[in-house]
Amino acid sequence: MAARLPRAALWLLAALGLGARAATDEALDFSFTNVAKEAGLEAVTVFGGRDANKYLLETTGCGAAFLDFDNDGWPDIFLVNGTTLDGFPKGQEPTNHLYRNRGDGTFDDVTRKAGLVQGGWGQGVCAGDYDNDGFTDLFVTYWGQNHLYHNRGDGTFEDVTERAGLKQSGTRWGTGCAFLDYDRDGRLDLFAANYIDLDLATAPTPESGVCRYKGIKVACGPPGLKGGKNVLYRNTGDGHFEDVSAKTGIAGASGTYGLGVSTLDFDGDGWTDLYVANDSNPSTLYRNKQDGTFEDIAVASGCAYSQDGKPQAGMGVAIGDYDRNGTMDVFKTNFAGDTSTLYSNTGRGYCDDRTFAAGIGVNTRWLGWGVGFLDLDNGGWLDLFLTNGHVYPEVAQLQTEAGYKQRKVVYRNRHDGRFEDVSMRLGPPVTTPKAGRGTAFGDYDNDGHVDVVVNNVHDGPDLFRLRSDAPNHWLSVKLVGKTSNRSAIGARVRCAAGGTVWTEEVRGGGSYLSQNDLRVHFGLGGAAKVDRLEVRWPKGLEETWTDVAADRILTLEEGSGRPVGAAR
Amino acid sequence: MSPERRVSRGRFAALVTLAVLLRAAAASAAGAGAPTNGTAPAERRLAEGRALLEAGRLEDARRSLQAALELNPKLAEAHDQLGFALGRLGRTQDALAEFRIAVQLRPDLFEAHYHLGATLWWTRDLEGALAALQSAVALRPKHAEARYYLGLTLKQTGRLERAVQELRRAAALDPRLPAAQLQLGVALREMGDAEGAVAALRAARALDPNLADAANALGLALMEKGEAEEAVRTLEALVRKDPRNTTARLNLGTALLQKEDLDAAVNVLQELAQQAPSSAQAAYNLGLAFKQKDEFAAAEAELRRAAALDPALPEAPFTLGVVLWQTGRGAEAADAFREAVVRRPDYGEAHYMLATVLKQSGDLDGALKEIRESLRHRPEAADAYLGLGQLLQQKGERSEAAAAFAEADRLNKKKADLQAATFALSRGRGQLKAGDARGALAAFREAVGLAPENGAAHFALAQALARQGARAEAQRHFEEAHRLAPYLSVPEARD
Repeated sequence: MAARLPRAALWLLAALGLGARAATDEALDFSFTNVAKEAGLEAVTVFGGRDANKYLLETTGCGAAFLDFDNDGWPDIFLVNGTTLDGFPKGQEPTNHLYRNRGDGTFDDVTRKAGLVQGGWGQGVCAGDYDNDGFTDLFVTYWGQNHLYHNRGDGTFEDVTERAGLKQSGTRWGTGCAFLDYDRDGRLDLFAANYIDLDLATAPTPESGVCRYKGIKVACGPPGLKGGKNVLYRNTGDGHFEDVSAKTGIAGASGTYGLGVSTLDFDGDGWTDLYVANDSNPSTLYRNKQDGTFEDIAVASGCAYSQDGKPQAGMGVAIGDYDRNGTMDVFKTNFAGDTSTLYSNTGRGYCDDRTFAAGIGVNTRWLGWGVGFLDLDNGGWLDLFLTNGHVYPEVAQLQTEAGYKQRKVVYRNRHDGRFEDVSMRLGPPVTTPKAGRGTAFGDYDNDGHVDVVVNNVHDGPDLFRLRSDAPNHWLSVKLVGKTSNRSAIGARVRCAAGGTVWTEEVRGGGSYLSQNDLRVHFGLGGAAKVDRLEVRWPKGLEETWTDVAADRILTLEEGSGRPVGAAR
Repeated sequence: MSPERRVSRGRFAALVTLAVLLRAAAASAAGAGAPTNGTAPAERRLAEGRALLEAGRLEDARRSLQAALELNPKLAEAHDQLGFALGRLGRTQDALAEFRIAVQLRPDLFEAHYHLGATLWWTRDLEGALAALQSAVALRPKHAEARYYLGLTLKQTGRLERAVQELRRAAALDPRLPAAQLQLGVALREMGDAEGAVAALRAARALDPNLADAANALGLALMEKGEAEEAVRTLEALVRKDPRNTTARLNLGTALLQKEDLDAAVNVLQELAQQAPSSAQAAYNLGLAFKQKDEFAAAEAELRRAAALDPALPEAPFTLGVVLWQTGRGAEAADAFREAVVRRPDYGEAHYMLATVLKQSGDLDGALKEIRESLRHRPEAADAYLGLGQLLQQKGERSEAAAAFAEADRLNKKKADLQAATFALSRGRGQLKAGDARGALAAFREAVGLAPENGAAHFALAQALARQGARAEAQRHFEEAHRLAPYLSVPEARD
C-alpha cells in the first residue's frame, strides 16, 4: 500500500523562473545597512504570544509609517504596537511610537509629548491631512476601536475619534487603511479594510484540533470565520466623517478578510481607485465610478486570483509602474508555499499576471507581508523589497527551511520585464531572519535613496538605510494641494528625462498596514535634469514644470505650474 | 504480494491447526447424527487421518481419510478433512472438490463451508468465497476467523460498508485477532474515516507489533489525518526494522514531504531510488521533493525519469508540465499536460492546466475546449469556472461569462461554508462536553445548515436530537449521515 501524493497543489509549486538560471556575476551597486539602533528606534513591538498563538489576532503584527508630522522636511516614523491576551498592568501597556527625525540620522521618541500613547491590538496606520490645515494627521486601526489623531501643528496630536464620528458600535478588526479623496471634493476621505469579525468568546482555538498547519495545531482562520466588511468614511468637511460604505458599494466587495490596502488610479481616469489584498480570498479592486460609488472589478479584470485561478492569502500590496508603460501595476505578497503575485496593468482595464514570466516565482518558502516598489540604484527601474516572517510561531516545531523568522527578499528589475532575486548577494541585514510585518518606504535621510522601516514582532524595528554607488540621478517631489487635498493623495506625476517617461502617484496606505512617505521619488538613471514634470492633481488640474534640476527634493504647489489644459 | 495475501498465507497454516482443534471438539461430541453404516471403522480411519494431519504426515493422512471414505462415502467430515490434506499437499482443485462434497452431504457442517470459503478466497474466487463464508458465519455466528475472512472478502469485492461491519464483529469476537483490526483499519481508510482507521490500526499494532502491514497502513492513515509527525515515526521504525521494505520507505518519503522535512525526504527517496531504480513512484516523489526545495533542474530530471519509467503514471507528466510552465516553457508544458491526459483522459486538473497554458499562448478556442473538458471531470472546480468566465469574457460572450463567474462564486462560498461548518461542529462538541446541550444542538444545526452534505454534521445533530428525545428527526439525520458517509452507521445497526 504505497501512498501516492495527491497532485501537488498548484499553489505549492513554485514559479521557477530565474531559479533555473545562474545569477549574474556583476557586483551590486547598492546595499542596505540596518541603522535602527543607532538611529534610536528601540521600542519592541509586542504582539500576542511568543511561542504559540491561540487566535489569529495574535499573528498579524503592526504597521509602520513615514510622515513628516512637523513639516521640517525630515520624514518621521510612526510604529504601531500591540498587546497580548493576558494584557498588562495599567500604565505598563505597550504603546505606539512616534519618532521625530532630528535630521542627523537619529530620532527622538516623542510619543508621550505628542499625545500618542495608546495601547491595544494596534494594526495599521495611514497618514494624510484630512482637514487641510497643512499638518499630516494619523489614523490607526485596531482590533477594537480605530483612532483618528488630528495633528495640532504644534508637535502634538489630539484623539478626535469620537468627535469625527468614527466611534464604532462594536468591536471590529480594522487593518490596512488609506486616506483618499474619492469624490474629488478636495477633502481626504478615509478607507479601512476589515479582516475578520472575531469574537474571542466563540472563535475556535487550536485545542479543538480542527485547525492545523502541516499537522501542528495553530490558530484558526480566516476561512471558516465571518469576514469583516470594509468601510469608507466620507469627510464632510467639518472635522466629521460619515460612514458611506453601503451607499458607495464598498461593503459589496466579492472578497473579504482584507489586509493590505493602497490607493491607485488603475484605469488612469484621474479618479482614485483602491486595491485590497485579501487573505484566502480574491483580492478587491474598487474602481471609482466617478459618481460617488465603487465597483469591485478585481475578478473580472484578472487582478484577483493566482495565474491558475486560485484565491491566495494576500497580505501586502505595492503599486508602481515597474515596466514603464505608464500604468500602475500591482504586486502582492502571499502565504508560504505560494508565490507573490505580479499583476501588470495592461492599461485596457485588466491585469496580466506576469508572476512566472517575470521570474517572481523563484520563491515559495517565504511568507510575505510588507512590500514596496523602490529604485534601489536610481537607475530608473523599480525594484522590489519584501518583508517576510511566518504567521505561526508554532512552525518552530517543523523542519521547514523557512522558519518563523525569515529573511527579506529583494528583487532587482532587469529592465526586460523580469526580476532577479539578489537577496543572498546583499547579505545581512537583508538575509537576517526576523518576524517582519509592516514595512514603510521613504527617504528618511533625504540622500536620494529610498530607505525602509520594518515593524517586527517581539523585536525592535529595522531601519534599512539604502546606499548606492551607482552614478545615477534622482528627484524627490513633495506635492502640496491647494484646491485639491493638501496631501495631494491621488495626484499623478509624470517625469520625463533623457528620453524616458516615468509615472508615479501620491498614494494613501500601501505595503502591509503601512503608509509610505507621501513624497514621490524618481530614479533618473543618467539624466542630470528633468525635462518636464507633469502633475495631474487629485481634483483634475494638470500642470507642468520644465527644466527641473535633479538630485534634490522639490516642493510643488498646486497652481504654481503651467496648466496643461482644462481640468477634467 | 498484497498485504492480505502475505497475512493470509501465514494464517492458512494456523487455520489448519484451528480446524483440527475444532474438529477434535466436534468429534468428542459426535453422537446420534453420525451415519450408521460402517460408521465405527470409518470414524476410526477419520480420527486416524486427523491425527496424522496434526502430525504433519500429509500423505499418510490422505490415505487414512480416503480409506475412511471408502468405508463410508457419505462421511462429510472425512471429505472435509481430506480436502484439508489435499490443500496442504498443493492439490487445491481436488481440495475444493472435497469441500463441495462435504457441504452437499452436510449443509450444516460449519468447517466444510469455512474451509471451502477460505480456499476459494485463496484461489481468488471471491464471489464463490463470499457465498461459502456467509454460510459458515450463518452456521457459527461467533466464529471470529470466519467473520474475518468474510469481512476481508467483502472488502476485496468493494462492499466496504458490509466489510467494516463484519470486520468490527470479528474484532469484537476475538479482540486478539490483529488481522481483523488491520483490515478494519484499511477498510475505514478507504471509506474516508481516517480517525477510525488510525484507531483500528493502532489496535492491530498493539496486538502484534511485528505486523508490518499495520505499521505501513497506520503511517498512511496518519498522513491522511494530517499527523505527519507520528506518521514519520511509525514509518521510520518500520524501515529500521526492515530496510528492504520499499513500500514503507516510499511512504516514509511521502510523510516527510507532508511534514515539509524536505532534506530528509530527499535523502529517503534517494536511498529508495537506489534500492528500487525502476520505481516510478519513488522518482516522482523525489521530483516533488526537489521542487519544493526549489531545486528545479533536479526536479525536472526526476519527473522526466518517472514519466519514462511508468508510461501509465499520469501525475509525472502533469507535474513536469507545471514545472515547465513555471519556468516559462509554455509550449513544452502544453505537451506534458497533453501527455498526462493521454495517460488519463479523465484527468480534470491536467485539462485545466492545459487550458491555462493555451490561454496564455493566445489559443482561446483550445483553452475553452480544455476548460470545458476539465469541468466535465471536476464539476465542482471553482477555478475552472473562473477560467471559463475569463475566456468567455475575452471572446465577448458576456452573459455566459457572468454565469460562469457566478458559479465560481457559489462554489467558493460552498467551500468557505464547509470550513465554517467544521468550526460549528467543533464548537458544538465542545459545548456538549461542557454540558451545554442546547448550545450544542444549535451549533450542530448551524453546521448542517452551512454544509448540508457534511455527513459528520448530520451525525452529530442526530445524536444531539436523539438525546433530546426527537427520535424521528434524529433518525432522518442518522440516515442522511450514513448516506453521505457510509462508515457512519445508524446506531441500531451497530454491534
